[in-house]
Amino acid sequence: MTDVALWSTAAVAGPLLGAILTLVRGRLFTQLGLAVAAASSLLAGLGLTRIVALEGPGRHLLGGWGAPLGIELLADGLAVIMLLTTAGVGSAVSLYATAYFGDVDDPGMDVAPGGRAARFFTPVWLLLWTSLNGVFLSGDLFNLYVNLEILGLSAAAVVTLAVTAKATLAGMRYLLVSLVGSMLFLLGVALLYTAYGTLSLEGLAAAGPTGVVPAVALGAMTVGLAAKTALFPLHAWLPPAHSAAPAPGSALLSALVVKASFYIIVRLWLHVYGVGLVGAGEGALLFLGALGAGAVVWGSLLALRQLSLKRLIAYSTVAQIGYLFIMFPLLPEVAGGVAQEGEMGWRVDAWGGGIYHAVSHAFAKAAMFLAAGTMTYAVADDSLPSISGIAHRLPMSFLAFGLGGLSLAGLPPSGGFVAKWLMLSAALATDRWLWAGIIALGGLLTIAYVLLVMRYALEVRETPTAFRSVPRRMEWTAMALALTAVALGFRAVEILDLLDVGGAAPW
Amino acid sequence: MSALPWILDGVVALLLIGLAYRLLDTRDLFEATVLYIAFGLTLSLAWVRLGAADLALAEAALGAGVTGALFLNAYQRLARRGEGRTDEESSGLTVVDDRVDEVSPAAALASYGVWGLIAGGLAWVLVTLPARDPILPVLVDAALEDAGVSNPITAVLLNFRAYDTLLEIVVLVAAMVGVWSLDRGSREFARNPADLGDEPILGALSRLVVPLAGLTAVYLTWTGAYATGGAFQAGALAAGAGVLLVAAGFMRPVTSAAPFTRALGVLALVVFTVVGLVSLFWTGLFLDYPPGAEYGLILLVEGALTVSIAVILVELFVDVPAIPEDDPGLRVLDPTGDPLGRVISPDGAFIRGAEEE
Repeated sequence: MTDVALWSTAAVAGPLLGAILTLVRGRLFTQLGLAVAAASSLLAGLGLTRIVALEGPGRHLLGGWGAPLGIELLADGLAVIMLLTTAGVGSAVSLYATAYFGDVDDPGMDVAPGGRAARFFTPVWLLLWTSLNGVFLSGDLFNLYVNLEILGLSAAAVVTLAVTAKATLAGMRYLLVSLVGSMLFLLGVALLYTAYGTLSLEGLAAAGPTGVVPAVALGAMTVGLAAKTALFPLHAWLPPAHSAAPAPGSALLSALVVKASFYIIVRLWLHVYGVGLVGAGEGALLFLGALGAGAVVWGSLLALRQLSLKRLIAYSTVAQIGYLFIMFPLLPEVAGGVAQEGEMGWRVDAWGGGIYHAVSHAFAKAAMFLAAGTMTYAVADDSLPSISGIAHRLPMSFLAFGLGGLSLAGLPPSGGFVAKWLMLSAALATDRWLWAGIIALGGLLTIAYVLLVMRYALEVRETPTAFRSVPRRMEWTAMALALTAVALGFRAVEILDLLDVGGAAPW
Repeated sequence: MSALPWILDGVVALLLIGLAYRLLDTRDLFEATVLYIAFGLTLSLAWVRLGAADLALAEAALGAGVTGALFLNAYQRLARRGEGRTDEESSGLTVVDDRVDEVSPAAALASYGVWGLIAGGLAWVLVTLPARDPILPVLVDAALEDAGVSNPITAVLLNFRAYDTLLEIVVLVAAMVGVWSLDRGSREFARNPADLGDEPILGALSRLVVPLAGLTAVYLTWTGAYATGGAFQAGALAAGAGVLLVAAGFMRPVTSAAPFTRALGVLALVVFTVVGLVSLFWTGLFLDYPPGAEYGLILLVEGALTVSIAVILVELFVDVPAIPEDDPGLRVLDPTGDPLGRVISPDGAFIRGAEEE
């Protein structure tokens, strides 16, 4: 048994076994399940990172068949970075959730309105975790589809755990959008399979998909995945769903779930098709970038107009997703001779910046949603005026929110700063001032809506009338995530080196 | 060559298109449900004509059967909510949407044009798909010798791509857990077993059909190794028997997510994962069955899959969650919220705009 086989199995089977354990119920099995899932995900992430860094990309031939007959799990730099991000954010949110949902052994749970949520959050979340790790390691198109189905079902269930009609409606709409997205993805899979006779990502990349059929397939898959990622203008489902979910769920959805479908888009466009290989490649990349720019501006402006804390953060997610797509037009092959031979400098930048943004946004946004959840937990209200003066009662949560916002806005030193710096330099190196302007404008708008929350939180007045004391664990888990988002600003070289294993080049 | 196959295929194809059109066109939910079941059965005929017996079985059992039963179940719940209401809209049984009538002919034409273009484009792509020699079927045939089973479909599902099947049962478990998480604790059942005396035909039919379905499910599981059949079809069939038992009142599930249900529901997941892990430590690769043990392990997994699929599908049928009660917060329309400007009213009907409150 190779280490790759062991750790890639642990990444998927660990959370799965954890989910089964939590279905036994009771405090003991809930905590045991979470511990199994978190430990195996962290160990798998670290173990695979070590292999990828030392020996290069690893593969695991499931069932011993290998592609195209069987399914392969692939671990390269991008995959292990996403695995580690998921393990880090997931572990912290799991700890937060054990405090947020209260004691599941409490007999009052059976009658409490949120009792079901407390009971079923853990199994739903661990199934979600299974599919996240499954997506990041999968080397097979149809297998990605199956993982997307688990992801969509469990993500919608996370939303509807909140026992309100609002959440039920938002979750139902999310499920429908997600299913339509899956169908479009499956359409593309079917077209590619008919045209090339293989489902393996590497096999398709080797076949070099060009022409009308692969272009239609890529178009269908991209639209489906963009709907799942909530790329502007397909974002309308996100703010109601992410704001209605229980706070730990909001953090997971915004930080991780939308990144999984983005990850598949990146794999398809960069690794399977190879940028620019599709007919009219440059126009398509510009189009994705334009949608991203629209998301940055529109999402930020709507975030500024919100009266509810969690809705504001949800619109911020819409905006930040835009940056992920601004990466595409800044990629090299379409720059038309601007790329200099042997010059790695700016070329790595746009790619590294985009992925760096995905990672630092995951930590920062999770910290902000958890901190916001702590505040709304304390005052039992989600409106901005109701958290007036909360900074004096919950200084650590306030600080966690602020540090997350700092990284989101791209202020140094933070992971968000590195991401935006890399993208800005990529835009400037190729004289694309418009993109640079949008990146900068988005940063300013981010500062504005983070300050809007702070203005309410810092207001000096009598302490909130109804204030519920908050478990300490909810405060420091958010803080740990925010500090990680900041710390990512200090370890850029190592992470970008890891990302180079596999890299942005087509397979 | 006889013209009969062509006529038969033509009838099936036209029937499919006609049923699909009626289904999308009708505003009556009950009619739509019945049409959906008819569509599924016709589709399974089409699969038979295409020589895909496994797909035909799955479509009939899952697509038409279980899904149709779920729709009928949902319809019945809606009907019960609407009892005592004369207003068509609030009962939720009829799709009432004035906006459909408000659409101008030009807009309708443009809409048809756009969708027609998309559909036409897709059809064109399908027609022009390059004809290639299929690669995978050849590989499957070549590897069948080492697969442990002689039915190529079972070999793909439980050996070559067993990982996909493992994740597919995770999809079902996720659906089950999701439905459990929605249950707000209020459960109601169709009928009291004591009332069964009033319905002799239902009782007699159940006594006849259920054991037969159970026997067929066992047969399908067993035969899947070398002929048409397998766990998904068998599980769906057994689930059909279970649904009949519940609907007739013979079986009365007491609470959702009872320990026994949970255990049987995740049985396949546990067995499959353990088999995969044992293989990992035995041969070094996940789900790489030890040589010689393939047939036994596949049969073990198939058996567990049949049980779990049946239990999960019945559980999905009996456990239709309730919609949360009145939420005053929803009466205030969020200015930047729902893009369609709609809110859900306490009785589940859609209301456009707060001014209609």
